[in-house]
Amino acid sequence: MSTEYSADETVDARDLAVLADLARVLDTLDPMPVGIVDRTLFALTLDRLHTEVMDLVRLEAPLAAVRGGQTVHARTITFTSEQVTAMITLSVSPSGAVRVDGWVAPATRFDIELHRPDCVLHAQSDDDGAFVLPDVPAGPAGLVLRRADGTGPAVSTPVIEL
Amino acid sequence: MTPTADGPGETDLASPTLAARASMALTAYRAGATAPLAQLVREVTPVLWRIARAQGCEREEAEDVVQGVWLALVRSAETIREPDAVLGWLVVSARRAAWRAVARRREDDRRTTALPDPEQTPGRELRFDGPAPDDAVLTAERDRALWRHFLRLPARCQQLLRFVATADRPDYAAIAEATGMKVTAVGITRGRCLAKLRTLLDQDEGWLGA
Repeated sequence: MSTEYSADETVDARDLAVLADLARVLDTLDPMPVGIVDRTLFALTLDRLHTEVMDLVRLEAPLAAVRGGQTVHARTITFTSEQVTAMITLSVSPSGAVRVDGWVAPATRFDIELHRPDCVLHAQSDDDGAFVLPDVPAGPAGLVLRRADGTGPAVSTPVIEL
Repeated sequence: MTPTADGPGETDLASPTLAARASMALTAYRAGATAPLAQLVREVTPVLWRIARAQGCEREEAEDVVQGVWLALVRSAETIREPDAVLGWLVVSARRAAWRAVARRREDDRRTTALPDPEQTPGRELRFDGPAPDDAVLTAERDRALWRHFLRLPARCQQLLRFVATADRPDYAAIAEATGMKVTAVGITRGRCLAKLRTLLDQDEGWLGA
């Protein structure tokens, strides 16, 4: 049996059933990341706290994180805007939480705020732009970076899962 | 979103469609109430995620796109002239942002790759990292048949159906319209893509028999 369905007919119940099946298949094959809604809501909360903040966008480091199918215990993410680039490497701290090693360019002193839903952690980059947050609990987090000399706009990252 | 036992009709009465709820959420947000917007984020994020993935975003890129679209909405909450169009605004913004993210990544790849790989470039748009058509996670033959035929559709059709499939029934019109499907007085027309998928499925014993 080979019915040709017309493109100009109105969708019927079986069309809707096919679309519902397709939605279910897509959800199975490509599920939405766990926590995306919470991270988004947190990003909106952060945005209300900080006006005049420039967004950094994530720049994927090409395949540096996974090699030869091995599990690598550090993850590097680069964020960039016209004025500021920040790279962070996430690894497991001795206490089992997350250690954040960061570098900011231009290499100068930045005040770093790491916002979590329940608190804010602070750090400052050194003259080379390097900073460390040695022990951060896992969970959603967004970084806000301001130049310590007060020049230029503050920049913020998307909310990511540590 | 889940109807409760004591008030199943409540959400229907208060807010017939997602488009209407989106409009109310923006109006409420302007008046200083953020809870309806948070509810809208919960409901519409799956649609926006699907749109970003359909445009070819990697998973993390897609999440950034989703966050960015919501940030853009609250930042322009005061200047969106027609709250009624907010769902369409979200869908269109997600498509554009996803397109930009993919273009940016390609540009970056181009700069960081010594020699362009002609084998890689054309397929990138269609890449769906991971599952093969008969992926083991699809246990039902019927689902495997659906997925197999879906992958035979032209790329544009796959893209369109991916996000139309995410919407709830009363919301097809808003989503469909924002994605370029034809909406008439009688309803949404099936369109070339869905017609083609239905035709393919009807020729498949595995689909019909299951």
